[in-house]
Amino acid sequence: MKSNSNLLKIGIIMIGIVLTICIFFIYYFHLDEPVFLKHYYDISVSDSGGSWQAEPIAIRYITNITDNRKLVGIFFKEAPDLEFYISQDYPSSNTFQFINQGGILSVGEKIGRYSIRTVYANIHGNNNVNIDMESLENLQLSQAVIQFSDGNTVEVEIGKIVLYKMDQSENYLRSMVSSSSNDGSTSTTYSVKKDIILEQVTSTLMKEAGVAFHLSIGKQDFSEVKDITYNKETKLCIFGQTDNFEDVVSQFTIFDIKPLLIYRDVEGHQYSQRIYDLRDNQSSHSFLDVVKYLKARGKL
Amino acid sequence: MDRGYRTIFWGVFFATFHINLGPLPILPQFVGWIIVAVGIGKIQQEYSSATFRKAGIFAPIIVVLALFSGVYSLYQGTAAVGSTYMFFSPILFGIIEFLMEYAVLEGSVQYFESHKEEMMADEYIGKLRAYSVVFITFIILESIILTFYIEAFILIVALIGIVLRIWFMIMMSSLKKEMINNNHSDPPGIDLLV
Repeated sequence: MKSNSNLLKIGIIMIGIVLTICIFFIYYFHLDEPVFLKHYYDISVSDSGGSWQAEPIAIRYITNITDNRKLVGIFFKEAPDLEFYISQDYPSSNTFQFINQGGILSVGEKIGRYSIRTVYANIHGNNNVNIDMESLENLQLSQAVIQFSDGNTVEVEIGKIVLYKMDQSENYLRSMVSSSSNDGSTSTTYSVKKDIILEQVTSTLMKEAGVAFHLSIGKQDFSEVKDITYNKETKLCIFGQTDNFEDVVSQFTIFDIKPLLIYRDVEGHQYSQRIYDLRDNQSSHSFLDVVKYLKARGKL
Repeated sequence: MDRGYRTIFWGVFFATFHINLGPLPILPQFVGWIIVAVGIGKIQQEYSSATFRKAGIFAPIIVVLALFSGVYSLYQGTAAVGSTYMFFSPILFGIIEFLMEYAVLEGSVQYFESHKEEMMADEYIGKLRAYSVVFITFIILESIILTFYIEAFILIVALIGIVLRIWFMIMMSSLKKEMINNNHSDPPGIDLLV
């Protein structure tokens, strides 16, 4: 029996050591507060049956897998009167119904000790009757106050969300072909319906997002575009590319940036067209990636 | 002593394969462990040793842990998944269960040794060694997998847990048979399951 009692002692010691290391890891990896990813969005606001509504804003955050709280409210210090509704799922685009509002907790993507969760912040004119759609043009939102189901609130720098009014006026650029690849490259070809002069391409978010974007119009970088003439029936090609991010913070940065292409016709009338080629595809992350990100953000 | 081993066998069986009606357990896990505790008590009536007394101390601890675990899961529902309690509970449970089962098997070896049945004693020393190695490995793996919440392996660990229970049940069954075959069986009486 001596050999078995030694085995028992060694086994218990081994379990004790492993358990101590595990408990150390559990406390080391524990987050005091959820960590919100950096979001850089151009969000369109459009007419909707006599009122207005904005695209749902996806908000992603990393929290402990043991966190049973739900994110239930959000407002921004830049627009404290703007009322948002939180939905756990992407809302139906036609009816603007909040399928899972106040429903069960979305456990999100489980990665080791963490869970990456997504909720949708929605704004609609019906719930903001005192806010005129025009006043939302170029509204920039950064300082979010987030409320959880246990009553706790946190203030976070969420990145930058810029609202813009959807331009539904006449346009002389018709989208012909559009493609995107999982290597981060996109391309869109427009057919030019009238002689135009391309004045410039602008974006407030491209530099701020801190992500290496490449956007070219034809063969020229977007920043160099100035008064380029395109004749009727020619093609205008736009190429977008987001690099394979080397720094871990960029890997977790979420963006849906829509630079504005401004042009005029020969009569001098100005028009604009949004470019939809800079959107991340949020590939899945490993536990180590999440840990590196949290360390880079100073949260571990 | 055979009745004691038989009772332990059925106790472990009910603790492992409990029947639920929706979220409500018909035969909760802790009832199975109460049966195990009764079985250990029966063995102690026949052959009292320090080792079986140890097993008798661990058994009620398991009953309390199983009872608390059942109430907690019922109360918390899916929210319990991944919680700190759900991490510590199965590991603590596993350690106590292992210590109890080790004591039952070691007590049985001591019984054979005291009755000059060296071959049986050696056989169960070997079985206890193999069982201990697998159980200790299981607890270590379980700790690592629950720490890093490796979902893909959680099911594998659960399956290893069931295999260990079946293994222990087989050993209880064969010990019961040994007791009957070698005239160590209990005196005739009302032969109930428990």
